[in-house]
Parts: sequence; C-alpha cells; structure tokens
Amino acid sequence: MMLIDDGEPITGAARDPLRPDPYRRDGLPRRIVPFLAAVGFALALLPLQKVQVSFELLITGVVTLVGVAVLIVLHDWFPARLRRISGLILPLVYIIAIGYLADATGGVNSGYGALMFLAPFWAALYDRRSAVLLTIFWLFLTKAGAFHGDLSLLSVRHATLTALVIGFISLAVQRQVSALLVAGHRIAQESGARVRTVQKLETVNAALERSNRDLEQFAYVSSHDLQEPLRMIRSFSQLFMQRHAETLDDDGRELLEYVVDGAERAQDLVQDLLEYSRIGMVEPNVDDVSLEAALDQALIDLAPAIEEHDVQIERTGNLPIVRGDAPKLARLFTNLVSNAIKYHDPRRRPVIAIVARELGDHRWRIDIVDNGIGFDPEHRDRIFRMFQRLHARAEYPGTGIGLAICARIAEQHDATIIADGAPGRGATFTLLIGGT
Amino acid sequence: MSLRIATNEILLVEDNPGDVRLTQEAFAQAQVHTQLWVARDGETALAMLRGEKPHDHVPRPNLVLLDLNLPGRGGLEVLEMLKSEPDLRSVPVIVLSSSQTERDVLASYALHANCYVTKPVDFAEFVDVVKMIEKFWFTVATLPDAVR
Repeated sequence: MMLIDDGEPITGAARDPLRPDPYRRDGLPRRIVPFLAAVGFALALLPLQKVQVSFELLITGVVTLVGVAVLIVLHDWFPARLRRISGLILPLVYIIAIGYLADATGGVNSGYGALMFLAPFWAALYDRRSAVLLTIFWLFLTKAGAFHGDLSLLSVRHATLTALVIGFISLAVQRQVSALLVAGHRIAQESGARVRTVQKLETVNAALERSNRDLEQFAYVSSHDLQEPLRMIRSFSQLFMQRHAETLDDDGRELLEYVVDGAERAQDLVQDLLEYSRIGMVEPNVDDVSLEAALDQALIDLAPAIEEHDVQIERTGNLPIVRGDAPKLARLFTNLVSNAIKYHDPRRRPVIAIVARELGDHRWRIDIVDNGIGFDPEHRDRIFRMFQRLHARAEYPGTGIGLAICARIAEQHDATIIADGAPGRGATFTLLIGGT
Repeated sequence: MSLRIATNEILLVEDNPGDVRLTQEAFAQAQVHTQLWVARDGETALAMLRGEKPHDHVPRPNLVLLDLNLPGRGGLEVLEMLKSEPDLRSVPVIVLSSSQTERDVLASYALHANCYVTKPVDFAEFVDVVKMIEKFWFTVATLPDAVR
C-alpha cells in the first residue's frame, strides 16, 4: 500500500508527467478541500457579524490572490522534504505580516484578507484553480453585501486564529480523505484487476466446460453409434460360425474366431466408454448418502462373486454420511471391491478389509485392503487411467475402465482415491472423502 | 364372443438390412411361427398398418416392432402418429432399439409405447429375447385381435 505524503503538493507532483498522480484520477480531495474551506469561512465569520463592505475588500481580494499565487510558487519551489513545513510556515508568516500591516495601517480589511486567504491556501496546495475560484467566490459574497460591519483588531486576531484552526482541520480531514481515497482507488484498481482476472478465468472455465461437455457428448454419441455396426459384426460372425463352421477348415475357423473376438472386445470398449461418459454426463444427484448403505448395496451386488471365491469381508468402523449420488457411490464400492476380488491371489483365501476412520474436520479415510496379487507401486497412478491395464487380457479379462470410473466418481464427490500396493502383498485403495 | 386363434403377424419397422436379417434369423431360430413383415421407413409402416395401397396385401399386424433409428420420420414420430390414430393405437408396439438412452426410453413410454426392449449385443441373447417376446405377447397376453 502506497501512502501519500500529505506535505507533497499535487502541483509539484503533477509536473512530472511520468509519475502517476494519485489525486488526479479521483479528483475528489481537490473538490472537497475548497468546499470544507468555504464552510470553514462561513463558520469563522459567524462571530464577525459586522463586516465592513468597502472597496478595500476588492483590493484585499486582489492582494490575497496575488499572495496565494506567490505562496504557491514559493511552496512548490521548496525542496520536497521541506514542503510539509513550508505548508505550515508560509501561511503563518503571511498572516502575521498581514496582521501587523493591518495594525500599522489601522485598516482592517487586510486582516480580513488574511482570513479569507488561509483556507484557500490549503486548498491551493492541492489545486490552484480551486483556490482562485474560492477567492473570487469570496469577493462576490462580500461584494453582494452578505456581510456587514467593522473588523476590529480583536476580530482580526480572532479571525486569524479561527482560520488557522479551520486550516488545520481541513488539512487533517484532507489527509484522511486523501488516504482513504487513494486506498479506495488502489482497492478499486486491484479489485478491478481481480474482477478482470476472475472474468477471464470464468471465460476460460466456461470454454473448458463446454469443451468437456462436447468431448463427453462426442464420446457418448460415438460409442452409442459405434454399437450398431459392432453388433452387426459380432452377431453375423456368430451366426456365420454357427451355420458354416463345419464347412471351414481349422485355419478358417481360427480366423473367424479372431473376428468374433475383436468385435467382442471393441464392443466391450465401446460399452465401457459409453458408461464412463455417462457418469460425466448425468448430473450427480446430490443427497445425503449413507456410505454404509452404499457399501451394503455393493456387497449385495457382488454376492455371487464373493461366494464363488469364498471371500472373507471384514468391516471395521462405521462409514460416514456424505453428500452425493447414492448409485454412483455404490458403484464406486462395487468397482473397488470387485477389483479386489478379481485380483485375488489364488494361493490363499481372499480377505478384503474395509476400514473407516474419521480424520477429524469431517474428513474420512476409508481403506479397502486386500491380500491379492498386489501391484508395483510404480503404476499407482496409471491404474486409474482409462483403459490402462497391468495384465494381459488372457490372464485377467476386462477393458481397464473400472478404476477410471472410480476415480471419476470420487472426483465428482470432491474425494480422492489413492492406490498402494506391492507385488504379491496385496493392494490398498484409500478413499478420502468429506462427511456431513 | 368367439375366440379365434389369429396367425401372428408382426410388422418390423427397421431400415438397416442387417438388423432385418438378424431379426428374421432370430425369429427363425426361436422357432416362433410368425409372419414377419418389414417396413423400411415410417411412411411405409403407417401405410401398411392402415392397409393403404400398394401395401393393402399386408394383413393388419398383431404386434409392431419399432426401431427408433429410422430415416425420415424417426421412430418416435411414427410411434406418436400410430398412437394418435384410434384405429391403430390398440396395436401393441414394442420399441426395439439398440439405445439404452434414458431420453429414448422415457420418450417412448410417454408416447404410449407398450414396451421398450434393448437389443442384446449377443446374437444368442437376441434369440432369447425374441423367444420371450413371442411367449409373452402371443401366449401370456391376450391381444385385442384375438377377441374380435
């Protein structure tokens, strides 16, 4: 935050075109100070009901105007670091001089001029034009007979003192207002920049969202439309096999088997792609979901596989309630548990432990630990990518979409999935998710 | 009221020759005794159902198998027209589609489809589905034509 030295006159600063003028942009202080000064004048003159209106006033006005101009020039001429002092000393010197002059000549209107000069001078520190305007305004007021009466020596001193007080108050207010305005201006600039950045971000985000949507749409449409021809290839090759297998020799049958197999695989891929893109397309149905129930559902869905492989399921701790989409969260568990079942170690009974614990601050950690074949931790990120597989299809069938779907569902729930494991020592999938 | 066992006349509305052949094969393998009539587009299908020339030789079908992916008038539009004609709307329509899109399913039922079946990707399964369709619609269910 830049602070403006209030002793630094704008007139001086404005002379350097390369230096930005913090006052110039808002312009408010320059308008406020003469206004304050004018109000101050009116207040200061309240005790001086009997102001003499004479031709002398005009001369006093002219003298004051010249005096202000001279003082401003002097003030600007002072070195920058002395200006704070000059802003105080110069008007004081002037007032005392005028006061003595008034005493010596017995005239009162020069002292009166001292009064009308002071506040404009403060204003002039920031704007010469307003000082001149104020002086003219003042002359007009006095000429119009707004004030009548006599100015005694006492009232000259009274006026000088009052004007000084007003001057200081004006300056103090000016300081505060300037600082506030400069700060406000700075904040406005910064927030403007921030708003622009946010707007830009929003634009880029919207474009990204659109492109993601387009991609999903593309994946969906292409996978959907690819189903048709693939179904043709698969069905007709099956039909062909059924009907003409006898007329083919072994070589012909083998070739045809590759056709059937390729079509089947392509179809699996397309179906998985379709499913994956569907998860992104369907807006998650946000509700309070019991992960306990989601896991129950997953285990019910997997009951045949659990039974087939005699899997021992161990559940520790209660799973939390989260905000999310119940079918998708059930799907997440289904995929994780079925993955654990699929990659079991045939030499031992599969054990899958599901351990939930609260990490505090409504964050939960759910570990799905198996004693399967495990994997090289080097691949812990790769396994979440679409169609990434670590094993040959002949060993473990599948397209490699299951964990990618898990990662996507987790992402939609602001959750994280981490995989860890070691070859032959099982795998652990950790879900970090926020509870309600 | 006399019960009359009608021949099972099925109108298949499908433009893809491969699918037509597959459906024919499936019906043949399912050993379902039906007469399968094929309309390659919606206009023809409606003309056949109305008994208009030059399709007046086609008997009024007991069941319509309607594909949604048709040239010109889409399947849903054909369905809407069919179900808006008092004479035709009593004919059960099975939407037979390769799509499992929620939108298609909901739109079909909203337009009074009698049932929505997704074509299985596997031919053997498709044969099973055809058998089930036959069993349900011609054995379990009593169709309006049977009591006329």
